[in-house]
Amino acid sequence: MSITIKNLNYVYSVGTPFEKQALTDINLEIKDGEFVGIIGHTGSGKSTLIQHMNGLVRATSGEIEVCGHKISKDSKDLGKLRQEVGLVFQYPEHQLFELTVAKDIAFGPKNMELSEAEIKSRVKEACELVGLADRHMEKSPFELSGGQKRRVAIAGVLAMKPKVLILDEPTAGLDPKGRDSILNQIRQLHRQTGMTIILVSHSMEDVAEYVDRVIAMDKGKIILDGDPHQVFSQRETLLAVGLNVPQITELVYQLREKGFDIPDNIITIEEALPWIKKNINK
Amino acid sequence: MITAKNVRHDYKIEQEEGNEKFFRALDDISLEIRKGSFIAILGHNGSGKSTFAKHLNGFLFPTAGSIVVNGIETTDTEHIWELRKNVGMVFQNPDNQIIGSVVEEDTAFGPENLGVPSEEIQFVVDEALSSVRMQAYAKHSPNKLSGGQKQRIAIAGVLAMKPSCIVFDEPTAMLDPSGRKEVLKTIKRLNREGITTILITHYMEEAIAADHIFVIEQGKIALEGNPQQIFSQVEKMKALGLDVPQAAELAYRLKQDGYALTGQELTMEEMVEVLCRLR
Repeated sequence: MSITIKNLNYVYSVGTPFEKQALTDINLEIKDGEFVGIIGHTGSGKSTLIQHMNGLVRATSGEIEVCGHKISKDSKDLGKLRQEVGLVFQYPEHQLFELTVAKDIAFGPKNMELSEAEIKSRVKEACELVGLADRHMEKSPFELSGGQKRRVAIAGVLAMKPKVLILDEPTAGLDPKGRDSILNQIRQLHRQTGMTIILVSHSMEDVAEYVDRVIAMDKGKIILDGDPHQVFSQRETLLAVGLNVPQITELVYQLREKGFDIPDNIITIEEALPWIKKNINK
Repeated sequence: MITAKNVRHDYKIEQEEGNEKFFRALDDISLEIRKGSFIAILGHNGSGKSTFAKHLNGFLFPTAGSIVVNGIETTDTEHIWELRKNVGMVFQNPDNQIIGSVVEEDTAFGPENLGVPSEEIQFVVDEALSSVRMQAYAKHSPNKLSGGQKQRIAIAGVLAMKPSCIVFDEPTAMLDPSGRKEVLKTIKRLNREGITTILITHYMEEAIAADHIFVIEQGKIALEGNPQQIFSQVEKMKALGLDVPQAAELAYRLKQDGYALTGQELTMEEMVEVLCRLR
């Protein structure tokens, strides 16, 4: 089991006028090799939850175990855990700082005190995993395009060979092609390495297309958890908490209202096409 | 309202002794934007969209060619303040655009700098906040608001300067689905109230609301037309690294398979109507 969370609660600024319960009774199991999407409006608790997963934030009560490491308020020495759980923040390219792309990616492994040869091979491997060409290695990261910078930032995390990779909105601000190419790369990475991947996203279409399991959050609680088809068939629930369904799912919903014979759990155009064709004439 | 003629913009990227290198971000752009219209600009990252937007209020000047906004040439430094008051800008990150610690103080920042008399400022601020439906938050601190609300405050700050045109540069990129809806609704309403609107976005479905779309590629206008004309060119849009709304893609696929669709259906409502007719 990659991640086990039992009755987790988190309260901000306990004992001050700003006290706020950010997470309430979270129970969650994520198995090795799962590809999970987390959705929820801003302030729903998504980011607080993922920050618990590598010990950046410690639970007020409850238990959390990640890759065999128990994390509690007084856990010390989380270095090992943080190598195993790679967290890619929003706009990770803002955190690039080295003189060259290669040096930036090598920063994590260097801090792990690996040999020069090992660092080199990890940098190379990480670049291949995110689809970064060799010719960029000696460039300044700031010369690259937005999408490429983001690849460098993700490669920097992958070079530490994490078992779990958590990405907080990895496609925000990218154009459609950049978005598809990063998500395809993540899917390929998942297939090649069997790594556990957790993707936080505001794009319902992307979540529908890529992940195997969707967790929807609202007001610090998990309100839906399941296969994307199941979760996106709960249109009313999602709309009520400020989320949405993919555009195609909305279309299918409206067609059902008009009496079309078409199931309510359709989430991609590919799935919708044969059903729509059954209902219309040439 | 806005006339761009053969606009070229070169960024200097390297300078050694006697050896300068340039990157051509805009290459011979000519276009006309009518008063009160709603324009969307699409293009992949690095295509030149934002560089173009920054020309509209004199943040950047053309290397060659000219831009005239409401009769003011953007390079006319004597009238630059009038130009900037006329053309408001709203950017991606609301947190970078809010400076006041109370919502109404933030909205008042623009008119204060323009020297609007203080008895008028309250009126201007109230009007701007009610335009974005945020008057109930006038006394609140902006940092407790949601992303969509913050972005509406940023829009109010621009409105308080009474612009005739607002350029929105990816205003919804950092927002969740409901924040995106709020902001887009606000943009559409302001346009109906007469503000010339220029929306730069990576969300194709947001561009459906525009009267006219320009697609920019390598600093040139690659395609232009109304949303039906643009989004029915599915292959072309994908080749440009862009996309089309899901309804348009579905219409295209059904048309390819011989169904009687025009391929110009864009919105959910149009698709539902057409498909019901084909039953």
